[in-house]
Amino acid sequence: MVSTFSALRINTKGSIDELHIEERTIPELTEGQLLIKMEYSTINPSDYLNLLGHYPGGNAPLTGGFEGSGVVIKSGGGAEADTFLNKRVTLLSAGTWAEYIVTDTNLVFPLLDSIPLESAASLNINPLTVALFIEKVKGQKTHSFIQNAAASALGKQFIRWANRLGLVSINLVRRQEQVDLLKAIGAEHVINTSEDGWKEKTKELCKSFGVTCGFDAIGGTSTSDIADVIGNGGVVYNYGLLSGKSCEIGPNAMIFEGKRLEGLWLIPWMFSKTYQERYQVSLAVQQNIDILGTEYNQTVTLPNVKAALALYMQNSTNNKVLIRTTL
Amino acid sequence: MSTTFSALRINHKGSIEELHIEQLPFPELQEGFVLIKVECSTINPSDYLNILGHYPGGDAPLTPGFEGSGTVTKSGGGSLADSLLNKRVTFIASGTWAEYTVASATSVFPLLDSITFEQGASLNINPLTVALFIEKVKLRPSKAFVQNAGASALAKQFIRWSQRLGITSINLVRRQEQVDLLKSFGAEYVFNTSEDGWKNKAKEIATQFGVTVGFDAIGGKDTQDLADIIGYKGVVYNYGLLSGKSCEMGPASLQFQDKRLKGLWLSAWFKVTDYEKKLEASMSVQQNIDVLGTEYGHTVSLGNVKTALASYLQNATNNKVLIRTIVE
Repeated sequence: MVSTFSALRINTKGSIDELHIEERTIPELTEGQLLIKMEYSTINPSDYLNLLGHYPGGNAPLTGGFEGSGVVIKSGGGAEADTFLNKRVTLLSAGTWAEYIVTDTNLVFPLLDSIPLESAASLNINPLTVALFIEKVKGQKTHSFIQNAAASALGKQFIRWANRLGLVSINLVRRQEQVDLLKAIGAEHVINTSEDGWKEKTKELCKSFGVTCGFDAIGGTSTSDIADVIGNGGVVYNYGLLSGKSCEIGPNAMIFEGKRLEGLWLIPWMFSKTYQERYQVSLAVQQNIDILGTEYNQTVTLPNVKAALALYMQNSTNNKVLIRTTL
Repeated sequence: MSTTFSALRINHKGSIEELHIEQLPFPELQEGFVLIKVECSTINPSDYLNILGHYPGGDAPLTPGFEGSGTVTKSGGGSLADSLLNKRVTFIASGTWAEYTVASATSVFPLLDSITFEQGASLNINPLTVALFIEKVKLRPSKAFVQNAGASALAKQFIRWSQRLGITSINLVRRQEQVDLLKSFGAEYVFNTSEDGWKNKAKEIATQFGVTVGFDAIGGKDTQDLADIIGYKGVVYNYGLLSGKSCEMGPASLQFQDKRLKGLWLSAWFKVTDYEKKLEASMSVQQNIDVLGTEYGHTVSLGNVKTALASYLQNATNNKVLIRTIVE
């Protein structure tokens, strides 16, 4: 049994250059904890935001990574933790960019036998967030929504799952190749915001489908755009900050059209549920992995994550990285 | 009885220069509507925003003015409208800058005998909005709030009514004279946003009182400031656009602190609220008129509204204008 393992760590937040490999000691487990041999992890925007200091992912020094897959090799005891022993799992936890992780059972989910560990590495941050979005859309009067940054990995999963469930998506992108890309995966309504007159067209489309909710990954005036095109009394859900700017929403939308702005974050939503309820969501994601899976552009090991991260930060379209967490 | 009456009108939106007096015929009254001989009206931000074209107050040509006081001289029929006949009233209507106006009976409230027409002219747009704010504060776990533009007419009414109800106000202003003004009638917590370190101080007090609601009249970064000051899971209500800028709220506030941003509009509340509740709110306002009344800077007749409006646009603190709706 190993007593030390390699982990990709930073000592202070502020720059991805801080990333370095360290040898860590495996601690004694307390009741309710699991020791997981990590097989795979991935890179998400929250990873680099956390490293840069713009995400509440714990204080440095810390190990990077928030999700992954592996095998539970030790239980700290207690009936719950013991049930996970020797299971293949997919998990949400801080510190997955390492050969091992110690975590509690809260956000660890048994993996269906049919799902390979590679695919399971990215079954949480994006797909569970999409499950949250789907819940919001189902709560609307008309089962339709609009989203921006629609060509992101999450955006595409959202489109596909919405299609499977009969929900109507209206999708905003910035480039023609993205329009083509989304149409190729079955998105019916895709609008290029670089084209003249896109907003009027979008507003009409939203009206015809009675859209009253929008999902904003960008911030800045992109938030305002979504607020302007959805129906009166509607809600804009902000979940990303791709522009780095504060969300804006204009007085017409706010005051006269009664729209509102709220944030969405996976973690509190998960913790608003019991473990069984969380597991049901994970299971639903696993059962729909044919459309919620991720296509990886490349596979790297821990020492090469920094370089891959730098590239991912520049262009994250079709650039999902799989991290093999063994050295 | 004359067949026409004088009204201040604009033919197009876009400029206060458009204002001119016209003779209008008395309209036919529909059931549920009343004809009111207007005694007094006033100037609010929504008036000039509407004239300039930034407020959904109907298409031009139109008569501006959204509230006033007067006497109901005719009823279009229906029990509510009939019950208001010959009564002294305070009301919300479109077109109150005129000798007469037509109003839906559901926006017309009997005026207490003890209240003059002058005071009755500004009992709706601001005080009912304050009543709506108070309702929002009462829903929060702690009876305390923060607001900006703290020296406006509405904000001062909000402070005073809150004091009477035991609600704590934290007030943001931009100039020292405004700090002094608010403190002179008992506002305990007033912060000058032009001073260094104001925000940390305000946040300390807000935390101490468990504030989770803010009222924003300004927009732009001022909205974010309110969001930063209130506690986790708080809500910022935007009701004004004094800066002319879109409200800003950052992802940290929205996603990680679960704060939200909503608009508040008296008209919207009006449309969905039944008459009983509105009447109750109006009565509550009238009974508290000693703290919800308006100090008028001066009085003008219809012919001088344009001039008064021009100077009101420059400085709206302590400068509320009473309009005597006659043509001299």
